[in-house]
Amino acid sequence: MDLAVKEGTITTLVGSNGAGKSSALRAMAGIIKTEPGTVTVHGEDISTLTTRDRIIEYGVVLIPEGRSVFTTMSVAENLHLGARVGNERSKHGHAATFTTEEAYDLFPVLKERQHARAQTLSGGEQQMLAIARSLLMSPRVLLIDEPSMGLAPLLVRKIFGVMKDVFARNSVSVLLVEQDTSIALELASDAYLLEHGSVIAHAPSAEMRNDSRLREAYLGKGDALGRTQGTGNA
Amino acid sequence: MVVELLSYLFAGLSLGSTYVLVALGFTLIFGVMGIMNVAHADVFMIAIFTYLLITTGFDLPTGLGVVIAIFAGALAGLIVYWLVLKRIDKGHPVALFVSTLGVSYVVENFIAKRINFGRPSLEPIFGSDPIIVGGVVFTGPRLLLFAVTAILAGGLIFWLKKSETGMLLRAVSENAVMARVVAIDTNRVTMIAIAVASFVAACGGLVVGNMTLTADAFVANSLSLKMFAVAVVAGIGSVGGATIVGLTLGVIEAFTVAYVGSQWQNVIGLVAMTVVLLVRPQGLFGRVLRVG
Repeated sequence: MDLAVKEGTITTLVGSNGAGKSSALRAMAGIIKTEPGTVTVHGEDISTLTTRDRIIEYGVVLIPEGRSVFTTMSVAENLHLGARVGNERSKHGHAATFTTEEAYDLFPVLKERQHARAQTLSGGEQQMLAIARSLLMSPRVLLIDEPSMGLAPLLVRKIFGVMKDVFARNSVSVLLVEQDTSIALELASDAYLLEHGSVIAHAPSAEMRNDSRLREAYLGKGDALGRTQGTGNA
Repeated sequence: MVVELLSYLFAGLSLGSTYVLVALGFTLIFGVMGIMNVAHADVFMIAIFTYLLITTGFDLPTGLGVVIAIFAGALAGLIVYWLVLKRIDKGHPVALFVSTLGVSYVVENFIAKRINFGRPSLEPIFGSDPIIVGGVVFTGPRLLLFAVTAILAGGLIFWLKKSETGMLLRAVSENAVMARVVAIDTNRVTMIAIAVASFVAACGGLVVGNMTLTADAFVANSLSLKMFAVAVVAGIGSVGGATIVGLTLGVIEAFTVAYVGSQWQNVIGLVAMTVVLLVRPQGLFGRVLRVG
């Protein structure tokens, strides 16, 4: 599997269930081993680093799929876990790009519920919390796994609409894995099509979206919106 | 009648305090590492024997004995971590269970052999004349045990809830993979948890030893059974739950011994554990099942 993410852009990985999308993200974050592949950020090889070092030194931040907040902790505590990483990164010379106040401005509901346990939040609010927490970690490369899982497409568009500005302002490179291909291709500028752990196509997402052959073959048959039919985990 | 009931209540609370001081660390280690460290109760015993060695063996002051014993207990916990817990694949819980059991046997029998399987007496750390309030007898060592239990259990709960390190520890306990995702140094957090858990158990050994005034190399045998039952009934990983369940178990045991018969003492904990595992496997105070 060979893929690259341009600085400051959103790139998406699409493909059917089991194509290796989530595994690719986890390998890049160092949660699972990448042998024999390599992961580079700005030309520097980070394959041998721990997840922690990838975050602190290179700003490679993963938002795992599903319920990726600490549910027994409060909203404020979850955000604090992100902010402390941002602080640590600024000590390593990577100035913090995002503050807790900005997170609250971006997602006002989080401010209202800051003392509530994260498990009492709705699915969409939990996803906002996970995203806000990751932004507080001053990411340079953000790996987002299935943000729309269990959420209404409208809500996902809304969350990403808000975030696109933040990404652009801080030149965050985003690699997005998403079951809902129509949303993914709409948000991303670049797309990779994966099958059985290999890249089988790479194109600007607009082009991928209009390629009826690819859509028929890999992105869900017959659906005019190009949505995949599976909802399980990749 | 009331005096009798109160006497049993306080006897039960002191028994329960002993369970709490061991179960707290056991449950803390389980929370962070997801493994059952059967050898944890031996830290309790190691503190007692270190104290014996310093005070009786080297004839040094009791205060020094206390400090060195606590330090030795915490160190013993960390050594078990470095030598065993860290090296065995967490994917094989049975291997971990058996190896910590092995550590427990080796350490206990090694120490027992050194003292020719005797039960030497300990010099008191802190004693006083009994205080009698309305017919109920309080002894200095028992009050010390209550005070130490209250301070350590309360302090631990407060520390977990309010401190930065406590927050990291809770994060690792809830989900170790997610903790890595937010750049938590899980190795460092685990070592802190082990050191704190062992510190609490070592303090427990000293204040209980101060009551019994004997050093028994096999004290951990019955204690680890109770530690296990308390942690499971409370919901493994729940520190507040372990405190409540530990004290309750002690009180129930004391009343059982008084009114039913001492042969039933050790049965209660096991029955409670079985029932809880059948109806509420996450334990009375367990909120979520652990991930990772």
